[in-house]
Amino acid sequence: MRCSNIRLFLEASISSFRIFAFAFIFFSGPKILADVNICPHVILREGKLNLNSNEKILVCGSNKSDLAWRDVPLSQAQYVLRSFLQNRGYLSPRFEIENETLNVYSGDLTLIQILEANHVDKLLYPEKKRKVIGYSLEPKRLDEIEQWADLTLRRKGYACPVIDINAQAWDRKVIVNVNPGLQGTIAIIERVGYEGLDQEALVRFEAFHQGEIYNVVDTKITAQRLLSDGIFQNAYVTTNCREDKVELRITVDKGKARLFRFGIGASTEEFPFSDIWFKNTLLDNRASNYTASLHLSPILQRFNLTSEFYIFDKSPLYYLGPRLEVERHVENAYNLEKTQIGIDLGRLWDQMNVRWDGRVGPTLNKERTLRGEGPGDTSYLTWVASLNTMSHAYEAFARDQYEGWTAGFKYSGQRIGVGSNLNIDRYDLNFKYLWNVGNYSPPAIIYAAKVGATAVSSNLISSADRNALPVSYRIYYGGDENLRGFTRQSLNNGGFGYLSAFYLGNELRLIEQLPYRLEPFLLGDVGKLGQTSTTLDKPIFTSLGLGMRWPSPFGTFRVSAAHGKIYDETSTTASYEQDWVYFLSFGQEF
Amino acid sequence: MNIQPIKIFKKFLIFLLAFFGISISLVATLFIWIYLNPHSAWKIAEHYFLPKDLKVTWQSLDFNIEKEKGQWGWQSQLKVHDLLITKKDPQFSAAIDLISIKILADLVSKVERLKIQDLQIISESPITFWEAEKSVNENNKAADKRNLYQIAQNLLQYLLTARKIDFIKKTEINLSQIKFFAVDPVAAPLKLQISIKKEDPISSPILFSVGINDLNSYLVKVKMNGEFKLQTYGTEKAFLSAKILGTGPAISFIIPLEVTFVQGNLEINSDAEFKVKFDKKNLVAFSKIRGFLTPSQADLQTLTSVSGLPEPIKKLKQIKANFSLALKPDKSWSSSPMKVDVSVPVEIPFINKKYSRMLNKSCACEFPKILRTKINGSVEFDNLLQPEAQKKTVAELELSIEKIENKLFYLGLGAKFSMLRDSTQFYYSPRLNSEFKTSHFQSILKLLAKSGILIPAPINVLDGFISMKANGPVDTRYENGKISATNTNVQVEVDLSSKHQKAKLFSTARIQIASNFKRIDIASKSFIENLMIELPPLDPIYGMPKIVRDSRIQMKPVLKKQPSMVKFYFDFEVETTKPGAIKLLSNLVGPYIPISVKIEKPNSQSIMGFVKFEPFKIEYLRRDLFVDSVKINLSETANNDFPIESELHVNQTAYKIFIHIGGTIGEPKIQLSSDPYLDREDIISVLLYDRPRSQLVGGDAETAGNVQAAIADKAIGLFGLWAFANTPIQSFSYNPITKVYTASFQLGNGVTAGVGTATDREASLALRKRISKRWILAASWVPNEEQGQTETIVLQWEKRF
Repeated sequence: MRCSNIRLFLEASISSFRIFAFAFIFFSGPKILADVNICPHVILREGKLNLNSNEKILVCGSNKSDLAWRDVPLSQAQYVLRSFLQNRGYLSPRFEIENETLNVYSGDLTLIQILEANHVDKLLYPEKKRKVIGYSLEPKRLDEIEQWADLTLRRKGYACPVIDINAQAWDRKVIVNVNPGLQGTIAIIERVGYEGLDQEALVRFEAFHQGEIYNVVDTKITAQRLLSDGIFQNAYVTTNCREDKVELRITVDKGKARLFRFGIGASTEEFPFSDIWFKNTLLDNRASNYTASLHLSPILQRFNLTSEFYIFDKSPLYYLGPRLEVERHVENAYNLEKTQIGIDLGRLWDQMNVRWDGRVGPTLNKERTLRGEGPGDTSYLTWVASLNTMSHAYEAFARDQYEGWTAGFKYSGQRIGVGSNLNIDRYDLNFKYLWNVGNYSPPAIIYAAKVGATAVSSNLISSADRNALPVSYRIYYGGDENLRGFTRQSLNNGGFGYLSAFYLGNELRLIEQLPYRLEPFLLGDVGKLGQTSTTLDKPIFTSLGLGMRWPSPFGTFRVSAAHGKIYDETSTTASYEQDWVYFLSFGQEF
Repeated sequence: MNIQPIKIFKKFLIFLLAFFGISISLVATLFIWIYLNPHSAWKIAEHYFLPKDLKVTWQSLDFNIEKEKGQWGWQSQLKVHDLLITKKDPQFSAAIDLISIKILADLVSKVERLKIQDLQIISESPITFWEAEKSVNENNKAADKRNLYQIAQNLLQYLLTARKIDFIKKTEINLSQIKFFAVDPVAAPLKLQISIKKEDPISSPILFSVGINDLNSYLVKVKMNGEFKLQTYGTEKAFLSAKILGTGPAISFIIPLEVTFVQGNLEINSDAEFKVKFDKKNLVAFSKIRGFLTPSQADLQTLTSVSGLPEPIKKLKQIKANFSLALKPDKSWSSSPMKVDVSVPVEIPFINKKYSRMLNKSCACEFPKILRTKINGSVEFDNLLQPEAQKKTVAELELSIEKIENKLFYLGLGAKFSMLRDSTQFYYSPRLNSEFKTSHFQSILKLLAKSGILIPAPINVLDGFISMKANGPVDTRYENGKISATNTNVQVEVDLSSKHQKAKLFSTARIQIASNFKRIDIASKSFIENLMIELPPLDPIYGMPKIVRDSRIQMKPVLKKQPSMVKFYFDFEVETTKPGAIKLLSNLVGPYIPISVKIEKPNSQSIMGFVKFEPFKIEYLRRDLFVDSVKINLSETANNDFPIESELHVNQTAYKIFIHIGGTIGEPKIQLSSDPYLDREDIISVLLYDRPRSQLVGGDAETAGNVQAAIADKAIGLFGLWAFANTPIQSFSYNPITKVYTASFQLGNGVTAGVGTATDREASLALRKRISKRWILAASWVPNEEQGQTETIVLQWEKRF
């Protein structure tokens, strides 16, 4: 059994490398060495050179000019082409003028062999900078190295480093001369454009505090948060250095309070959908707000009203959040109508370079299961408490999924006599960690691990009684979110759901090894499910496979193929399919 | 018999004998005393007999006499150790380690009674000569009234006498350090080695060898080996054969010499070879030299060819030079001047057959293949060397190059040089007479282009008149009686034009050359009357092409520059004669960019002055940007940047936006104001979208914010600012972490273009794509508690109210 799985994994690996090899050959393409007419009298005999319109005018002249620039002398074209080629990494081009024609030979690309950094012991590690050694020596590359050095230093508190790059063509060495300056502490935070707002309350958006070591990532996160909340039309943070003191200025531009959006779109789960969204972002000077949204799609129709009221004068970071949600789910396993009304006490804050989001409050639920297992018509009161954390590094580079971690804990439960006739407690724990293996920049390999554990305890012990258990307390596994070798929510215990679950997901992703920013990955998931809240059943659910991630300008596309396999099977798992499962998702990350 | 006279004679004899005896005794005693007390004896001699300023001391003196075995002769040897000779006028000091003379005295031989067998002078210590004090009357001491021929004849007579005497068998002089402070205080000491040998048979030649070495090897090492065959003197065979070899870091030569004396005439023949290393070039010259010296005439004739010259003249052949001087007996220099006649045929390198044919075809212009260049003149040695010459001409030389005159151009090059002497002062008065002019600049350009000389567009289409003149005297400056520098003026006049372009300039240049040729100062002053140049029709949206290599990339190691033999100092002034005299024609501006300049670099200081743009309008992508003034101060700041002061304005629908740019070009400080008043954010919003923020839709507001952030972070330079002020922006994304921005512009007809600091990398930041004024294609990214994050593509309509 075990051998067959190893074989399966090996087969999958070999297949994946075949795909990579094919992709590499396909994308890199055969090198066709043919003469290219840059213009009638200038022929590229060797190499590759794409000139933009302006560059072409300086080489070939232009018909737009009456006389002066109609023709460019060949010797001038040669001079200009030499610069163009050198600025593209061809540092030793060759030219021949023959029969009134300029023949251009680009020569070989000059590839960087050594990268050195001066005056930055234990701050910059050139050996960790990828995409430099073996790559062409050209201005674009030097800019990239400068940005890398600048960003690395500014992430370590050196707010205003002075960086000077020198490249030596003769020994193909690039030298980064750095004057990092002093490590800066945030001395002043100036807020501009906050007129009429309670600045103390709006500190909830800020990822940095006075007295902390400066980190450029925190400034980006702050601007992102200020913008995404909708209060401000634009927001940015500027930095000013005074020796070891850093002055930060947050400039915002308040927009009109009422924001209305209408949209039609698509996601992998829902296609198509439409959204009508209204938000009043400024109910008071603490930017209390409410949002009403209507979401309509074939599988989900939902009206949602949420709010945050910052009403506590002595604790302006705490809010009260009344909410109302009316929704109708049309899933494979069930059809459900649900209404929730509740109120939360919550707080958002930053500490130890981590974003903390905590909330607690009661919710009155009314549920009606139209199809599938579940109570036909039920009302109950639940208490929900959650604490979600996210490292700043994760928040800043979430789109790249290169580094950082997230962790969350959620409790939801109900008690007999307190608006409910059942005792149910649900505990959810999740943790995700992204490890840049070798700490390269850009990363070479990202190892991602995700751990999830859920337990539901109830006085309804047996499966037979579980019909009365609200759907939101049942655990369904399988799909793109956890065990990827099984179809979505297919591990559902005959529709009854499970009461406990443990999941460990792993992913090994190659970064910037293929063209077009394609990121291939290998995946391996392990999960266990339990019929009771405290015991996990014997069967072990595994998924092994591979996939491809493409961070497109509009979001992340992921495609994966994973084979589900169950070890130590029992009669309860007999109905589960163990086969290859394919997923194509948009916007979903591991 | 008279006894008295006998007595007297006896007494006289006795007295005489006594006198001789006493005298001999005294002389013997004197010799013995001198032998025993040479120092005391020398001091007495020094005090009473030698010049007062001459001091001679020595450490020890050995004198030995030995009898030759079986011969009637004695061999004596005198050795003086550590001899020190000093003299004040002329001042010199010589420390000689050893002087050894070996003398053979043969009482019997009738021929060689006294013969110097061996003479050695050896010195490892310095022998130093100082510059002699100048004395007006020094030439009065002994005016040598012999002419060149007579001097040579006298010398030859000495040689002939030496042939008979033959009293020195072997001589070696070895002086390790000879210092001439008079010549150059830093000059390296010289080492001098002289060796003369004469074998016993009287007919055998005298062999000699002279070597002069510069101890620091800066100069040329010269070695001369040769022999005198005095028996052939007076015959057609050479009586002196020698070979002079010179080797040095920059120059080397081989000069074989054959000297004959026939029928009273002296003749020198040589086929010499010279090699000179100059500016990475190896110049080689072969010269046939013939010299004649007769009682009435001295002539020197050379025929030389030189190769390895720098471009464009690689070699010169058949350079003939004749120097002829009349001689008068008993007169050192006759009043007749020495005539100089040099002829250099210069091959014009770029007028080869191909071009000659082309030129003949295009303008029926004929060019000589070889330009005859001549230097004629005279040198008056009488005036040069006579003691008291008052305002006498010493030399007059004239350089003339064959004029080229055809339909294409006129080229006449000529110069005169005369040297006057007034007592001990010499005055030089050169005079130039050179001119180049053409009315067919285009044809000249074609000629230059064929020769590989780059004339770039758009200048290459200009045609018209160019004139360069260097006429008149060359000023000569004197300091402390010596020439410090010479000055000459060059005038350049340009009047060129093409269909849309014009260049009318006038320039004068003053070239000053230091007397030692180690410094050349060029000071030019140019006036621009009208310069209209067409800029390439570039579209700013595609960015400015980088036509120079990125300065961060070094192609070769920076080596320490060798100090140049000649230093050039270039001072200049460029000025427009009226405001806006420079007009840059561009497809973006109407009608042109008018520029005024005043640029100067005086006294080898850094550049000063300004470049000022007079008012003009930029029309681009349906928008007009008015440039009211731009003034760039050319005095560099500490960061090698230039201060800028600029006023621009844009007329938007209801607003007039003023953009003031201060600071420097590299770090501009941008101030925005408007009429009617708007705050900065609204001004940017109006600039970008023609309406204030209150009327912006969400995506536009975010774009405006990004632009603000980029300006605040100084990520947008002057070009970027112009682009934003002058182009309708479609989207703008800015990453404050990397300080990289990307902007896209609507070019019309549905075409968009992007600019930015890194357009390819930052594409992923663009999460919103504007479809129309209100509709946006957006990717919304929503954190999801259960599933991490989800992302959706939404075609979204947005309004704030």
